[in-house]
Amino acid sequence: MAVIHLNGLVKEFPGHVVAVDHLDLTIQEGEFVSLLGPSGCGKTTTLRMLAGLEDPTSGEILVDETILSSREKGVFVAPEKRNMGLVFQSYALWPHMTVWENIAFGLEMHHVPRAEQKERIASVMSMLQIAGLEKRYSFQLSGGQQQRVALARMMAMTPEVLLLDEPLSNLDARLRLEMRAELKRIHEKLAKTTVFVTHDQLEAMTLSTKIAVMKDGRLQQYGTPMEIYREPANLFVAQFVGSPPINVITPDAAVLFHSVPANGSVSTYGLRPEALRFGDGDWTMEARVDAILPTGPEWIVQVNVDSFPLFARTDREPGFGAGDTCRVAADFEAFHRFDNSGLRIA
Amino acid sequence: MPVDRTPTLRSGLARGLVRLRHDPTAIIAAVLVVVLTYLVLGPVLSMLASGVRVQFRDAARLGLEPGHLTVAYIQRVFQSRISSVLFWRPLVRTLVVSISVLVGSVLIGFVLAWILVRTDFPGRKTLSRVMVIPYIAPAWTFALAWLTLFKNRRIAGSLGIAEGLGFSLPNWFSYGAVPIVITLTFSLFPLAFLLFGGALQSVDAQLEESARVVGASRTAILRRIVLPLLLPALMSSGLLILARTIGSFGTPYLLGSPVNYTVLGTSLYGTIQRGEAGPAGVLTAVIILLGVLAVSVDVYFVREARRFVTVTGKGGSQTPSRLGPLVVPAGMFVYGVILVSLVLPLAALVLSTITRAPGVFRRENFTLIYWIGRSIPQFPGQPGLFRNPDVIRAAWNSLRIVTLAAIISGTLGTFIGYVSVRYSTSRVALYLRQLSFMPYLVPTIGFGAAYLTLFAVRRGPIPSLYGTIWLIVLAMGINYLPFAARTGTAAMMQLGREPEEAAMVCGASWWKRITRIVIPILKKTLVTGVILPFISGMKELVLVIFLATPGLELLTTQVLRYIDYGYTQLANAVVVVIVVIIAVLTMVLQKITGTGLTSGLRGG
Repeated sequence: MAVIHLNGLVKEFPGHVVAVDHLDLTIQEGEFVSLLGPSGCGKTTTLRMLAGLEDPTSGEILVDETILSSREKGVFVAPEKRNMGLVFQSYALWPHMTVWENIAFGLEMHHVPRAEQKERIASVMSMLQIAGLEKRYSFQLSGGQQQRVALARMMAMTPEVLLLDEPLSNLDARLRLEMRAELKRIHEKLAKTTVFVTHDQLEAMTLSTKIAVMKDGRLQQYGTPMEIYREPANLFVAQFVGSPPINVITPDAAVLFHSVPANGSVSTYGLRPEALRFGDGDWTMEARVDAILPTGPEWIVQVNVDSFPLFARTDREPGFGAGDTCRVAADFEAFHRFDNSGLRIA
Repeated sequence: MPVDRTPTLRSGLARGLVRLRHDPTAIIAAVLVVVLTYLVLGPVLSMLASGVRVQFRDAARLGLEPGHLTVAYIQRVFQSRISSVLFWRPLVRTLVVSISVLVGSVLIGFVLAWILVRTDFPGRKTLSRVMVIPYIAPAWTFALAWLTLFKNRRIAGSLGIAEGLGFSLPNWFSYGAVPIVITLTFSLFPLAFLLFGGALQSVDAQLEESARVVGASRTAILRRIVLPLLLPALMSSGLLILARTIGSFGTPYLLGSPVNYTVLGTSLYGTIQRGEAGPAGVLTAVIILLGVLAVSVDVYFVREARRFVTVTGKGGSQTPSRLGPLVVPAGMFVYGVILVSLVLPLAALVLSTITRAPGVFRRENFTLIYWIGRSIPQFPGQPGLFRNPDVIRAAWNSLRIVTLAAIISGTLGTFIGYVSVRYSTSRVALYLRQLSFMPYLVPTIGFGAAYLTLFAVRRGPIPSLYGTIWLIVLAMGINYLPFAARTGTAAMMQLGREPEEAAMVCGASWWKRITRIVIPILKKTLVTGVILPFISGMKELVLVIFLATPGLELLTTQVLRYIDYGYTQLANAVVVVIVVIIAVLTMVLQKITGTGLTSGLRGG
């Protein structure tokens, strides 16, 4: 069992820089949780505190009933005693060691007998499909292979919890997709609690069972990918998740703003590009077409209503060109409503 | 894997101890802070303090208790009967020499860089490497070579080769400003050459191409695009050369003293030698101030230069301009510089060690007696170099002292880098980096003197070091710290924290992490960090001039002794040996790092 609790976790760096600000999070056994947010939001710091590489300023980290870090209670469990595996963004493969030596190092530190070392290394290498690379050095490996070795090095230690710090960000687009599938496969096979740090919302959406969206050290929303996408808790989450980004309609876009029925004190509307149709609906507007961007399977259309730009996304080829006028429409329930502090209005 | 998550320690102190055992970076940082404060700040402050406190020997004259605050020394330096001799005239001369050297080296360096980087001059790669050699040799080698060639009858010892050939040379040509400027220029121009060369290489070819596309002529491109981009390099090299010449000592000492041409460095030497600690402190402060000024202006321009850092695309691959018939004057310039800065001085030195009388090219005048002779009739009691017990002892002293100093420097530098990276945001790291840079600003001659006064007597836990190798070892180790710390910090920054943290997560203890991960990865850089101070140490003269005592001579101070006795051939033979040692080590360094030469050059 490994249920992780973060209770009121705070990390302050010298110079009163608060990287993580009262973070509460519970990660259930076997979940794949992504910490998602822009750079500087405290997601990596949170991961490093979990790993024991940073000491929280206040608050607690628990696994099941055991406290790992708590300054108040004077407890700090050393990184190697936490039984957590960590993969770094840079992979941090030791350049002076071969692939085999890289994987064996941790086992050696834990005095695992030679024969068992051999067995475990062989098994993780075959699971990650890097058998045959034992004698290579990291500079002789491709980016994807380095990534697999870093994962193998972590997995050979049979950690209870896997911590991954933006492991895919250094890969090219094709490899990234391949490794994403690989990570999902491994998680489904081993069913180990995994915490994954990323700034890529697509990665978080496709891999996670749950996403924790962070900004400025604070948790914005914690939920399943679909909850995050369909019911963003606030304007930040709505804007951060989704590509092309959600259309944000403020009172300055008077024609648009006032044509949507309000309930309560709405100060901003959000409309996902795929909710904007061409034709008629509850809500219909005259628009001019500014640009059409075909991506292959679909078309992203930039239209302009009363000189306010909106993005639409459609899988049917538009029957008009740039400069034409058209009608755009949406259903009233497709609009997300936010109050003046950016919070979602149900 | 068995899970052992039992947190047994409850008190804050015990918890702290667990963390420290697990990661003793804090202990290392604390030790470094204490050691550096004591060994860097201590000598500097004591030197400066002596400028405003009554010295024991002046107490009666000034009618004040020793240690009392006083402005007497400041007055003595700036406004007294002797202040023109002590300060103002040396200051003016220092500025004249520095600015002349600056203009000369920048011109030579720029033209050379242009020819060897931007044109199709034949053999430019090899020539670029050759151009750096003058900088590797000790600066005062050129002064010695000048004396070997052009010394006249004014001072003792054998004559210069020119006089031996029958020329009669005036004093102004043999000694003083003219030879000081010329020899310093030819030893410092490689600095300008390297900075300009680097800048020229990094000017993105696309910047020029886009100017050409919009119709700019070649001269317009040069004037409006390339030269403005080179401005930071010009400033930077100029200020580095300025900082070098302001504090220079060896060359003005050898070439200026015969005609009492005193610059700030030699004036400071004079005050220290006469035991005037007060004025010495004031002069040190002035030289530090000038150095700080030059460095801050440099820092400012380097920061400004960031504006010029362009998005680098596929740039850098410029097509070299074709020289055409201009290859003849260009060739004359390039080979002329090599001749004057390299061939002539070295040839003169070597030639003098194998001839009895200078400038006489008859077979019976040539001899190997100065190298291998059992005894030299002219120099009573002195056998040839390889049989000479004084030289052999000096070589042994140089070897062990410089080795120890280089290890101290390299180790401290590495640990400073380690703490900087692990504590990147903390004030401790900043303090350590600033302290480790400080010796760069202090005139070396003053630094050596400060060590002498501070550690010649017992201080706290440190016994009197006078007359032991440890005084020189410490002074040298600390004096080269700026470069060692820079090498160490750069290496650690490049390595980053992650490889070590990865080992931490795997359960490796601190000792295991250092010995199995950090050191093996940084092996090459660490070797560089030791060899660079070693090279500097082998050619060090200024720092050790007060610290080397009879019986504890180094190769460099042995050269000075021989010059004083007029044993020119022996002095030059020792210099040749030093140059050979340095050249060999530099080649080893280049083998190891590939780029060791240029990266270590700003330090030297």
